[in-house]
Amino acid sequence: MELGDSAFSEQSVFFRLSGIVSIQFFRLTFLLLVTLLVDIRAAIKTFQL
Amino acid sequence: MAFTTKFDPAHNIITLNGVPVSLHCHHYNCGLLRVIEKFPHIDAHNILIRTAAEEFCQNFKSYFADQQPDCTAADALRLAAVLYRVMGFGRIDLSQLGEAGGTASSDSSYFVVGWLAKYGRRPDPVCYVTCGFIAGILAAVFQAPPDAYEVQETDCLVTGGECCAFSVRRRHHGR
Repeated sequence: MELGDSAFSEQSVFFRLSGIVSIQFFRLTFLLLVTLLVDIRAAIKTFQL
Repeated sequence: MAFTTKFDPAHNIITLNGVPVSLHCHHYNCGLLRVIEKFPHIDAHNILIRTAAEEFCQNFKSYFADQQPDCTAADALRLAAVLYRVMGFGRIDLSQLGEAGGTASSDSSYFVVGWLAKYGRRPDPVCYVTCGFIAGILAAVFQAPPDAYEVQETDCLVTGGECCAFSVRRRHHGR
């Protein structure tokens, strides 16, 4: 089998759908999303987006 | 000191040395960065750096206090590099950092690999969480507030650089 047909080829569905995983502190995920929402909300209000 | 994850099947929670963690793939991490970078009027990079610095500072302080109360700053920075690797972020050299700042470098970066797999090369750096990691770790080690250190990625593997290089300085208002 050539690399182009294998699961690790950039052309394969497996490669595109599989995830490269890292561990993150749960609170960081929460803090990041809340901070983003607050800032986006403020930007929408300020700039009338 | 060893960093180990533990799964609690009763509550469906994973902890890293007692701190709750989650697993995120590059589709989430890189997709989120790409979306917020396109959103006008918010400082996406600074938000990533600031929140990461706060989290790493708090958690590394607790690891320290619980398990390594008497280790030197150099030992603590070596421990931080192990934590970075265990969390799957890559390999980082923090040995050139001190209380006043300095430089750090990484020859293997999760964020670069993820971005390249998903979007390909980009002209500017991508390791903003790493900047926050460095700022938070230094703040924990030298007992400063999480915003005491300013970290800039001066070169990045994603742009074609030889390694990810970080320049660190202590802000004047930092205690």
